Amino acid sequence: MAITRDGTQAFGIEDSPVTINAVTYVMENASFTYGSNVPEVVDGNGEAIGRTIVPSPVEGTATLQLAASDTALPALGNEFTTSGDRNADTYIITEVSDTQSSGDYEKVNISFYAKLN
Amino acid sequence: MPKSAAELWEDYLPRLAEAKEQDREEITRAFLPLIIPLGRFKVVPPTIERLLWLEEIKSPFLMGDREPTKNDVIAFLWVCSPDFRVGFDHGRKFGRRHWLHFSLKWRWYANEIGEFCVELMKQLGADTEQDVGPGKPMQYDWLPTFVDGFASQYHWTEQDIMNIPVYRVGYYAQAMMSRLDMKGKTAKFAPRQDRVKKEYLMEVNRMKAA
Repeated sequence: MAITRDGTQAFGIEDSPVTINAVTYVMENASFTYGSNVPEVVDGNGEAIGRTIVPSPVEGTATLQLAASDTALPALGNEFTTSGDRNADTYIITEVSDTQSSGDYEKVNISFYAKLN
Repeated sequence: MPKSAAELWEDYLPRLAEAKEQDREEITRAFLPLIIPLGRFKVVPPTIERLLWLEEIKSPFLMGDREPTKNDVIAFLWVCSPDFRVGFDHGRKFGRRHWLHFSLKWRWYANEIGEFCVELMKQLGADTEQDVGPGKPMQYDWLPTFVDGFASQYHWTEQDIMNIPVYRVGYYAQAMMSRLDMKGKTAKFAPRQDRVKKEYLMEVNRMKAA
């Protein structure tokens, strides 16, 4: 699947355009989580004697504003790239929620994680 | 040389900041107890109850389905008057008291009220470009839904809820949905900012098509 680079916007700011599958959206309320898995080594009594923090892929959620009600929704597996100082990476969409609208404006929520390679 | 989507976005950032400030000011105004002068009369921002009365009497200022008459003007000014009380006699007294004034100037009032209502609808999220076709039906049960929501969340009485200025209803509803939405799945809407973003997206689409 093609990755579309779109400018040099720095994520972490409130709103920013992003291109997904050749369609431009305005991304709002983007949130990125840097999580981890923490496997434990336990002794014979089951008490932890050691832990290792293994970073997991960055996960996030965001709201996308669509140009119009007939704008294509991003699809599962679509990729998008963010640039800038923070959170610059390629992400894969894992969830697309229902479109919500108010007046003439259409928004959709997405979840994503950072592409491994 | 054509601009990229990101470069165009830079152009829109000052407008977005301005729109954000306008949205903030609009929220502030919605929570102030305003009394608006209209000619020799005063009107208050319609509450849910007053809006229902206007709907009940099929006010053309609300329905937009016909030209208003002198009686429509009198009815609107009475329903939105700070002194409004339920009862046909009260309304008739109001009309009689100002009959001569209305006879002379009702068309001027009709225009002023029309502008007031257009502004009201804009603040309620309606947009001149809004698609109100069959794909977006108005929920017929919005009233019990709102009363139930406010009563269960804020423990307000039914009368308290009916007396909320309609400007505020949307803001409360959005705040309530955000608070109750544990998974963060509710999109936030801000009319002026969303309009700027929409214009940006339309411009980007035009650039791509060119």
